[in-house]
Amino acid sequence: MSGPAILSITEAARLIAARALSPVELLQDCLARIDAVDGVLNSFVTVTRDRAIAEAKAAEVAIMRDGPSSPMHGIPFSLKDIFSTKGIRTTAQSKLLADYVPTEDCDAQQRLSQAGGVLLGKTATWEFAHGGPSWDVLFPPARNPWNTDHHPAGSSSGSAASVAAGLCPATMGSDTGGSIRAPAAACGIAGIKATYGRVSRRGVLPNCFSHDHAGPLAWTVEDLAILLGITAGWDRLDPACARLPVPDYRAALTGSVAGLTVGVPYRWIEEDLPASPETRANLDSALAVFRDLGVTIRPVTLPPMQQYEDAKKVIAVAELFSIHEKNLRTRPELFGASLRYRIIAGSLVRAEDYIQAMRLRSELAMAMQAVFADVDLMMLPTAEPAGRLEPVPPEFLFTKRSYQTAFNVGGNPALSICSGFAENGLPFSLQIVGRLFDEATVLRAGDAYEKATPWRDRRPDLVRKEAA
Amino acid sequence: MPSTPPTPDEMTVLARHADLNLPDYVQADLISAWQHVGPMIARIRRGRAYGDEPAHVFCPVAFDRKA
Repeated sequence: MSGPAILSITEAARLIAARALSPVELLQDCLARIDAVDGVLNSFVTVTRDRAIAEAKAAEVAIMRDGPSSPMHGIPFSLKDIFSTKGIRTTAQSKLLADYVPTEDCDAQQRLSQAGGVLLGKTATWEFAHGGPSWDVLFPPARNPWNTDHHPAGSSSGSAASVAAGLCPATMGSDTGGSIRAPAAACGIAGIKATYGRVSRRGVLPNCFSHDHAGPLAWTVEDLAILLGITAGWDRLDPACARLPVPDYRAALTGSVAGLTVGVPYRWIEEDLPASPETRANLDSALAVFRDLGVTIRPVTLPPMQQYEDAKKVIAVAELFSIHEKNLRTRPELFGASLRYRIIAGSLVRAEDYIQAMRLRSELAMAMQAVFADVDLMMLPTAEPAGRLEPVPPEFLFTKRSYQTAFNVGGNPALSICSGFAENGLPFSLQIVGRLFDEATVLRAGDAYEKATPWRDRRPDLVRKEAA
Repeated sequence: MPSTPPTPDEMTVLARHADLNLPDYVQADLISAWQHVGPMIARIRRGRAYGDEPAHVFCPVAFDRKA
């Protein structure tokens, strides 16, 4: 794999600023790669080709005249297809929204466009960012570029797959129980769910209001710092949005993590959701890298993982039903079976049950913040390497546990980065969790790890499939 | 929550009380899904102190669109 499409945002921005790379040339390479491989990956559901060419040409003129206005000037990006885009179909992968064309842009599109980004298209998701993978919805599920027989996790599936495959260097996803971090982990890229309220969700179709986060995915942590710096910040039209200043995340990437203390919730990865021996060994290797960088590692204890799962899922199905109940009553056949199963489960949740789950959430969130009195960060795997892409029973959402969901309950910033590769070539992942609104330290640690390890030198080998 | 799961007939009654008139295949989903959601609800602790606030405390400033 070669060509400008596989450049990171940072690399492409540097070349564009030096007039050594044209935004049009970069875009054309992205479009060529989409044409070459996305018939297999299914990562894009809409490619905004003509609009993107016009935006790239305009960026080129402006940059030649005045220089780039931001590191995203002239850089292609995509949006998960639950992000509303004015005049561009926004489907949520659902037959219910097959013809839905929003009349307003979401906050992320407004900010990225203002920064000079070039909208390349909309990416595949699980239906309404919740039910999947599904074969009975508007589009087929995305596939993992490291092995297209495997899944890219969900629900920001197409976003992660497209970045890993070098189709587009920047994308926005959403995360209600792990939907940025799990796809980033499966596809060997970086993705961050910032603190709840850090990034506006305005114009993003809801999944579970009280746990929904929007956030970026990209090839490197430095790229995430660029994207988060643009998309974070107060939005008066999102009632959950925090009115706090946004730090210069890129400036925070000093490369130094010496003196930090990292907590590891060993009980979670040994008892609550035992990691496979390979994943545990990978975590230990990653922690050894941090030790060598001057970090102190110590165990921490959180409440049982099941409590976080119970609180989140009871809240989630109740909110999900409230969002979809009209369509469920009047045209249930238009939902995919997986999402429909999960929505209907919320129909019998009583107000008392919902409020008791919300009271439990308060207790669990406070317990999580208490841990950060003694440590700067927590680290644990994001997920096991991705398995095969195949239907899963609809009840799987209710029976599974994950390393990700608890941090939606707590609201803490959580980053997933690539931490190596399994014997079958699928990526391992490391999750780095921080104090509320301390994304800067989370990103600093992730960036230091990336620069101390060789994992960013490897890309998925799609050459054979392209030639096939 | 009751300690024994509701029967399919009881689920039909519950669905009717929730104003749901579901086709058979969705009713079957409801019966199946509730076997998982019911126990989750049952595991959530009750009997809290009067002042234990839920996590959705209302913040009026957040809804001042002129702010």
